[in-house]
Amino acid sequence: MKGLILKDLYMVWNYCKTVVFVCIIFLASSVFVEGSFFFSVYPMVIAGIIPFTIMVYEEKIKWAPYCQSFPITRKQVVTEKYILSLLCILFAAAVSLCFAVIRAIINSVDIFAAFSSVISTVTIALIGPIVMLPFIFKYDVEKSRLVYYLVVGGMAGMSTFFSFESRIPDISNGVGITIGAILLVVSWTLSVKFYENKEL
Amino acid sequence: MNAIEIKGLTKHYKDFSLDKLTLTLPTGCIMGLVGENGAGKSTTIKLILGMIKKNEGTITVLGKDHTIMDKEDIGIVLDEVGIPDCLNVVQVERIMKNIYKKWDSEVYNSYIKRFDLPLKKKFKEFSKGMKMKLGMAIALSHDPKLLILDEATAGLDPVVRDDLLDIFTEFTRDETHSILISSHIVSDLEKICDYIAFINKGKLMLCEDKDALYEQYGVVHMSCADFEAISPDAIKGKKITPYGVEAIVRRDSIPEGVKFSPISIEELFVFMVKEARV
Repeated sequence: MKGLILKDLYMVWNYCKTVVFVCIIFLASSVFVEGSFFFSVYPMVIAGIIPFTIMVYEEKIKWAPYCQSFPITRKQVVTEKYILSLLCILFAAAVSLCFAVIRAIINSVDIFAAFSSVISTVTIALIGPIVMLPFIFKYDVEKSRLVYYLVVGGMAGMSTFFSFESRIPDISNGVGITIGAILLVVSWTLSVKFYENKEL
Repeated sequence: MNAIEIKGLTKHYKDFSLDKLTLTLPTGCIMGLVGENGAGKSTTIKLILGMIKKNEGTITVLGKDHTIMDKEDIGIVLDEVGIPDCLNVVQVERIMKNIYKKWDSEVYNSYIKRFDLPLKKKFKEFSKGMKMKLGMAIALSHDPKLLILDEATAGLDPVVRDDLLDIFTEFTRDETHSILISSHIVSDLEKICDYIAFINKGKLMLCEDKDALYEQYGVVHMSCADFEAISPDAIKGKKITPYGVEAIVRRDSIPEGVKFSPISIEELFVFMVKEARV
């Protein structure tokens, strides 16, 4: 599993540098823009679906059949992609938190509100992997592309809507996080089931 | 213990079926899986490795059912090696070290040196031969007992192919090591294999000791009239030309006095496949 994560981090570094850079710019912009929900959420959503980009490259080089020859179970292959999603979201959350604290200091706002805002965006960002990964593991990347566009477009639309409303939905409470965690487990279970039955 | 035992292996697709394949690779031997493109060689290897699910039959690898085989003991090289394009030799080693418990960095680095592979160049900048050599270095660096190679020599120049064939021969000097290699380059297999298995349209046509094939079969050149006297059961394949008949026959089933030429595995394969088409 550690080897797979290392491989994916190398791939993220090589293929997704621009995405990471754009995410940081967006998060930095959230400090200065009024009603900055879009700038806070969108980078997190993009970070959460970085595994999709990695799996596009994997399909091109026929990584999945090669990976099947390693002493690694299919369950571990699936789990690793969920861990990668969480790592990317947590990285974006850490960057987001830094900017949220700066924003709180500049605007003299309660710093705990900044924490609460980041937790809300993390919960929303989980929607990407929760929805997309089961599709990719059941079908292939090409067939899952439509879902990718729906998730990215839907999340962009939603975060823009909330920006205009200047109202961040508060889902930083226990219920929001619990629902997110449960859906993530359901998504992972489906992905494992799909991938274990898939012909490579 | 046999390295691989396959019994009644069947896999159905819409337009192709692998039909009740049965073969055994004894430990310490090299078996060549020969067949045209689409004959079922890669399907067989995918089934062994569990990439696809069988409809019927059993597969035993190194004494265990293939679904619970220890993949630490198996080295794989596939036609498309499968390594990410952005990685270099050093990064590949860091990854594999964390995948295989028995990974041996010294062995890996010795192969990298022997193959003269650049350490910092990305995989996408490698030639086909270099890619295959890196795949081979990975496959050999975790002390495998069995190598499974799917078209590992296809598309390579003769020098690189010869280098790899040398490695295969070295590997099987240890009598606990075995190789299953699929290829449609029959001449490569002829050089190194102990056993040859012919697959045609999903069916096993023949699986025998290579030397036994040389002993059992021969090539005859004769007139059409003389050829009429040979029992049809003895004929494995024939080619009729304006100058007479060239045929592959069983040596023990033809009249005394008929002269044979020694057979090559490639001739046997081509004649048998063509005969099956008639």
